[in-house]
Amino acid sequence: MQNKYSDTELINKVLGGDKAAYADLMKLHQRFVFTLALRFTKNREDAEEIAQDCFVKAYRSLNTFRNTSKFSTWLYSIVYTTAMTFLRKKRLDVQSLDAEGVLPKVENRVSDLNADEVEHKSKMVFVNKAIDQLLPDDAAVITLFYQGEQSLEEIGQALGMEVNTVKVKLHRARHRLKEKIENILHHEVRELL
Amino acid sequence: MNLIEKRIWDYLDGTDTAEQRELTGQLIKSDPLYRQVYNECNSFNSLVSAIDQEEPSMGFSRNVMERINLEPAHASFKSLIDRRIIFGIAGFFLFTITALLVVLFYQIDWTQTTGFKTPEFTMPAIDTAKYLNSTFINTFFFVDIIIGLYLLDGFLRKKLKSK
Repeated sequence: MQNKYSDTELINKVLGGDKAAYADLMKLHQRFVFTLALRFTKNREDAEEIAQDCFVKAYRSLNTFRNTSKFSTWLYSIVYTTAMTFLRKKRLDVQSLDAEGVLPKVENRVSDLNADEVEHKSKMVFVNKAIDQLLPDDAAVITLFYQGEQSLEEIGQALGMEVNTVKVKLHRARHRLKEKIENILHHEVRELL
Repeated sequence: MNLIEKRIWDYLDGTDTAEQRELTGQLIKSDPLYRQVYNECNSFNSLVSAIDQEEPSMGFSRNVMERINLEPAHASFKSLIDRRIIFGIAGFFLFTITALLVVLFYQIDWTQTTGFKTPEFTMPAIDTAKYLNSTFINTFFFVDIIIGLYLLDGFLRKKLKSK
């Protein structure tokens, strides 16, 4: 659904006292904020809690937002700090998590889809599985770059890092992700045989 | 990560210099190894870019908005307070303080050499009964009620609009 107002217009409405405009602003960003939170927590319930907290925090500090960066970049920096605080609190061991619970259960809906969709969904399941096996920082960089369509500078702003650090992190994250995808696919092929 | 892969990623991300870009572009065309890595990186990019974003639960927006509704509404000070009012109040206080100081210094007996003699100041007698009669009090309450009704009307209109 295309919103008729831009981020800036909606922000101005909210700052003018129109709370309902915040629901529209949230609709524009909630899917990505939730996806990003999920990359850190690997758990839907926790990710939803973090995403909700982020939107409430963003609302409270909306009057401190200056238009020097994109609203999405500012929002993702809130997601990053909130998720990091959450992880520190929970002392989450990302390696011990069962990734199966996180992935969408597309296998159960296979009969409703055509061959191309099945292939696409299967690919996505493998890639999501591989991303979930990455460290939270790597997964966040990959998600921000590919799904959030953020530039290296914007990712740097959101994560509080230098552009060169982000560049190196992105290279490494891609390399690790490639390895994970290859491992998963290799494992799946072996299982099929 | 090997050098070829790094160069290709820089080429695809556009983070290399113009010279490097031109050189890598030529190598992709002429060197089969570069072309192979380039194709691999391109496939990786399309694969990862195609991932769908996750959808939060149906009640997500409702839950957030319930929490937002408990928060006070934003209203920037700029829209609440006109700058002219702030300057007016500041000017009034500055004028009062200056006038008081002028009167004070004017009344000091500078010829006195020993000790400090505080200037005499007698408050003029004000007959309050002359001003606070029943007509004044009735008018005061009437104006108050009008202002109160006006504010209540504004508040109810805002509430209806937000619903």
